[in-house]
Amino acid sequence: MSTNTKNKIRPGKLIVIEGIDGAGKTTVIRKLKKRLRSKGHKVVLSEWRESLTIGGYLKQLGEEGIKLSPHAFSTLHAADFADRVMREITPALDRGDIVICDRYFYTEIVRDAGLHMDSKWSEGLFPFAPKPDLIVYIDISLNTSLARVRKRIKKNGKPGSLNKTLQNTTGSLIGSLDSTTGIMINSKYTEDGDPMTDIEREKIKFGFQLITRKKYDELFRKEKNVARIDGEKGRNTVFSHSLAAIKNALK
Amino acid sequence: MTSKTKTKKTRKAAKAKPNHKGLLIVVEGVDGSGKSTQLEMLQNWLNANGFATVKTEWTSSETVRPLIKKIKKTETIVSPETFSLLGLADFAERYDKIIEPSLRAGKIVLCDRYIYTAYARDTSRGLDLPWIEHLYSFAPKPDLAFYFHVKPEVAISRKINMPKFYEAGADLNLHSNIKKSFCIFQKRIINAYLGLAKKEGLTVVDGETEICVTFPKVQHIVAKAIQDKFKIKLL
Repeated sequence: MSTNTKNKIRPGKLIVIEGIDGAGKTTVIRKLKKRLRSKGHKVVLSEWRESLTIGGYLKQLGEEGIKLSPHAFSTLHAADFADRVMREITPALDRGDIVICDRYFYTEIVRDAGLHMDSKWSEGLFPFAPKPDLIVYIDISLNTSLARVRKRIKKNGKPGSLNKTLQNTTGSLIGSLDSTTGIMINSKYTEDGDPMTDIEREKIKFGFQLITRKKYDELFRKEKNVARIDGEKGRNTVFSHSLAAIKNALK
Repeated sequence: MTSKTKTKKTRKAAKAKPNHKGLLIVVEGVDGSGKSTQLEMLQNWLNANGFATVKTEWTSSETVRPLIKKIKKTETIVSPETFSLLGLADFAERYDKIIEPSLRAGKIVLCDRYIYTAYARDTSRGLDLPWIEHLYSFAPKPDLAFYFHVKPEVAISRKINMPKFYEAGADLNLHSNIKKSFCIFQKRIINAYLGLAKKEGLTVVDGETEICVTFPKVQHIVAKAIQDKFKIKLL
């Protein structure tokens, strides 16, 4: 519960899955969880923006269309993450479980970079985070990301509608843009209404993804224990490569 | 001296001189130190003299305050890190939406508690000061910072109501008795403030002396800052 716990040796294993929208994180996590459990491992899944204390509130703000300021968006997500570290991640690691994190604090750092915020600041928000034993980084091209997200919109319904799928995940391009960035780029949060068309949003999204992908690359170049997985390959290949990396980390 | 520490020092020095057009005045101190009353008097005086002022209080953002309030009221235990980041989120909302734009517009911004509240409280919860300083590093150092000092005994004696859970630091298991816990926690915070006052050069005001004695001193210091910044003579 207190500080400086990040370097403590814990019996569990922390596996982090990261990647831009449409990388296939959710699909691979579902399969990994199933496979590891069938092999007798205790697996705990911890998802971004899903803390007991703050997750629901963040979602509620999103549903009500309330836009937090850039710094507040980052720090409230950091608070959400800190709550999950205390409540879910650390206890599970202490029990000796495998913790799979659907996104980790890297998500916040790349998002902030995408909004041209000071990276030094974002990178210094998370000294309390336990060090991952393995980071599975699923890398895809921007074109693939956009194509997959577009496909998802078609499947999940009208962009911008406030249904649950959109709010929970990055269900649509628009929902995705807003929930990822927290503010509308090129438009101030104090202004009413939404001056952007879908096309404009898509363009911004593309620019945003461009920076976030670059930032992921930069961050994971510095980190050890990173398995880079080519997300352009079929889902079965992505799964088997991820599983191989995890098996290696569990040794 | 290594080049790294040099850069750090230069950055700190650059930050000490705010480059906005406005004037940022903050009051700090524990509850019952008289800081809020004096800040209100200061605002009335400045307004009466034709200055555009904006006042903002700790944990008062429309967006984050309800969440913090709920956690406090339900006495939900969160880690010191989470608690600190929640306070930062509230501050960040007010900084980005109120403080920064007002300073840019050349207004006088009055803050009832500022970054030093977080420095004092969060370190009293066992967190490292360098991390807290980093969290708040997007906010400039104030032009003027008053610390209203009262001795722990006085602060405790001025507390009439039963201390609340987080106010008493009850999340830290300091003492099974909430009043005792409050006393221990208040002492920690006041000590932290005293350290900060020295380190950060806050203007210490005696919060135990009558306001009619201390307020003119506060006015005098503010008048000087206004003369320096806006070239307007107030007193």
